[in-house]
Order: sequence, then C-alpha cells, then structure tokens
Amino acid sequence: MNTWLRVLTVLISAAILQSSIFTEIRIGGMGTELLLLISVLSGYHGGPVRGAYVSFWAGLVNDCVVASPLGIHALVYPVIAVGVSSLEERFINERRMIRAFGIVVAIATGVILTAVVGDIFGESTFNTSSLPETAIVAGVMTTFFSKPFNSIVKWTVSSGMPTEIKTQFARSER
Amino acid sequence: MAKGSSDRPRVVLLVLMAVALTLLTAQFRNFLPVDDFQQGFRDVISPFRRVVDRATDPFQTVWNGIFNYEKVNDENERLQMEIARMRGEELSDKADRELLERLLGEVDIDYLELETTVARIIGVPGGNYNSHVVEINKGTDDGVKEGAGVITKAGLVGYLYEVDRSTSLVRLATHPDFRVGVRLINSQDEGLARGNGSVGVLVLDAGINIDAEVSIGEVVVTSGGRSIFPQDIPVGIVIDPDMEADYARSIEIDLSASLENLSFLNVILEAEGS
Repeated sequence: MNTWLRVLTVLISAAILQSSIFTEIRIGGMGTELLLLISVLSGYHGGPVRGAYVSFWAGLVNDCVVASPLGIHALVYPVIAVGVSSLEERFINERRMIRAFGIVVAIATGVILTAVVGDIFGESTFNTSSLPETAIVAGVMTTFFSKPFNSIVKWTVSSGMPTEIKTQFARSER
Repeated sequence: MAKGSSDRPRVVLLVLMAVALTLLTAQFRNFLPVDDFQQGFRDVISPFRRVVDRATDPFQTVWNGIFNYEKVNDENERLQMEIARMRGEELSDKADRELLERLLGEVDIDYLELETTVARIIGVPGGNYNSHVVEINKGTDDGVKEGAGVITKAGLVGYLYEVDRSTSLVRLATHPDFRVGVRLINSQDEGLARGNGSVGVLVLDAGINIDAEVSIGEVVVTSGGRSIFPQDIPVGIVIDPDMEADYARSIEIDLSASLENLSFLNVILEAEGS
C-alpha cells in the first residue's frame, strides 16, 4: 500500500477512535491525545520531514474532530514531531521506561503548546488552572495506549524510508 | 549534502507553520469553505463513530466502572434522591424554586412557552482542547441552528456553537468565552455576564452601576434585545453582590441550572417574537 494512503487510513481511523471510544476514556475529565501520539510516533519513526508532514495532517484532522479553529493543532504538532525526531537518536538505545517517559513529556508539551497557541488566538478553551495537571495526566494516559499505535505508525511511516536513516542506525551501533 | 539535509526539516517546518497560520487566518475571517470542510469531515466520520461507540460500549462501561466509580456512585445517589423528590414532590431546593417562580410570575415571565426540541447529551469532544463543552444528538437535520440558546427547565445552559448534520456542540455558560446579557429582577438593571471557567458560576462585571442596589438571592434573567437568547430565561441568583467594590464591580451569579449533572437539554428552535 502506498505510504500516503497508509497515513490517510491511519489518520481517519485515529479520528474515529478519538471522537468515539476515547471521548469516554477519561480520568478526572482529562483524556487521551491520540492524534498527538501519532504525531510523536511519526516523528520518532519517520524522521523530521516525514514526521512533520504526517503530524501536520494529524493536526488538521484533530482540528476537525474537536472543532477548534483549523490550524491550531496543525501549527503545534509538526513542531513536536520535529523535536521528537531530533531527540530520537538519543532515545533509540534507551530502556523502554525512558522512551515511555519521553512520550509522556512530548505529549504533555504538545498539550501545553496547544493551550498557549489557542490562547494567543483568543481561544480560552483550556482550563488554565488545571493545565499542568491536564498535560501530565494526558501524557501518562496517552502513553498507556501507545504500544499498539507504535507498531501501526511504524508500519505506516517507515516504508521507503530514506537510506540516510539506516546509515544513522549503523553508526550508532558501532 | 549534510548541510542541505539538516536544513530541510526547518524549511518544511516553516512552510507547514505558514500554511497553518494561513488556514487560521481564513477561519477567523469567516472564510466559509474552511468551516464547511470541518463540518463535512465530522459528518463523514459520524456513522463510523456510532459503530465504534456501540462496538466498544462494554469496554467503556468497564473503564467508567474502574476510574469513575465514585462519580457513578454519586450519580446513582443523585438519581435516587431525584426519584424520591419526584415521588414525594418535595423539592430539596423548594424554597429557592418557589421564590424563583414567584418572582418570575410577578414580572409575567413564562420562558417555558419557548419552542424547543429535546436533545440528549452524548458526550464531550475528544482530547483536552474543549472544556465546558458538551455534544448533543441534534443537528441541522433536526432543525437546530448555530447560535441557538440551550436551556433546561431550571434555566440557561449555554448555546450551540458548532452544528453538524446529526450532532452539535454546546458551549456551556461557564465557558470563559461565554457572554450573555442579563437583567436583575428587582432593580431591572441590565449588564453583561460571562463565564469564568468556574463550575456553576457566572460573573456579572459589565453594565451594572457601582452604586446599584443588588441583594444576595436576587433573581437574574436574560435581557434579550440583540442577544442570541430570548429575554426572561432564568440565569440564576446572585450569591455575591460585591458591594464593597471601589470602581469595578464583579457580581457572582449561581447558575440555576446544574451544568454538572446534565442528561437532556432543550434547544430553542425559535425565539419568541422572532
């Protein structure tokens, strides 16, 4: 299957899940950020450029799902994906717990950045008093569900990867 | 070569951010295709959402049982109390209700005559972006329109700010962007109240004179006029008249409708006299 067809399928499936079952999966009113997770994982597995493209579309899809102004999430998610991608080499050989912690931090950062960008554009939708708590709980909850999505996103964005990424892996093993 | 490949992500990132900003500008300038695109997307995935919702219902029930046990317990207790209240016709807030009804009767208000449609709350939007927003099972197919007021028998709840074909999003009165023109029943003073993100509380901080006589327990209703809400819908009662204010008065209003335990709502189809 063509890579971009895979991306489209995964994003629409994620949008359906985010707006159905994951609206109920909440702790204390705070929920998972599935499309942000896909952005983080696409930056991790797909490299900065592909990660940025996939996360941009993930952001647009999320804007549609949560009825936020079109572009709010699309403005933030590529930044997170590129940031994760730039740190990917440092985390690749780390223990699973460290990588999970990395996902928690990335998701929490994404939630806070989205709130900040939303606020800049006059969207007072986040409850600012509970924002740090929301970001941390969302990060932990989203990481909890990351395992199956990790395999799916890896399969989605890794096909036909540029050879320079493989060269990076080879170098890090030496 | 190495320089080029390290620069490219930055270029891609900048281009994507520029596109996102362009889309945001188009949205804020009410460039209609952007809105339509979002609504169309939600309409397209809506049937699939329902299928997934039904298929994963047992899992959702288990999750709620584990993580929301206390809330479910509270809800159960509340419903039992509600049944007891209905059976015995003994309202726990009978005094307040009688006062509200008496005061509304005195000024000849009958907001229950409004033409409405009953909607069921089906959830909240996914993620964490939208707080103080709920989703209902009525959309344009049911004749509801964007901006329509949403009430319960107890009073004002919010308004519809996104309407799709079969569902809509209700911005609750406690949302920080919520504004409503209100009137104090006793003094007949009018002002602008807003949500401030606090549960069950509106803040009236514009339009009321610093020396206006406002008492605790005074009933507040919508003022109508150019507002999207018809006039005389009960909003709540004053809990803090802020009499000691020096220059900027901030009156706190306790909402008469409990926004925490909503199940069914009434969407106003047509404002009286419109």
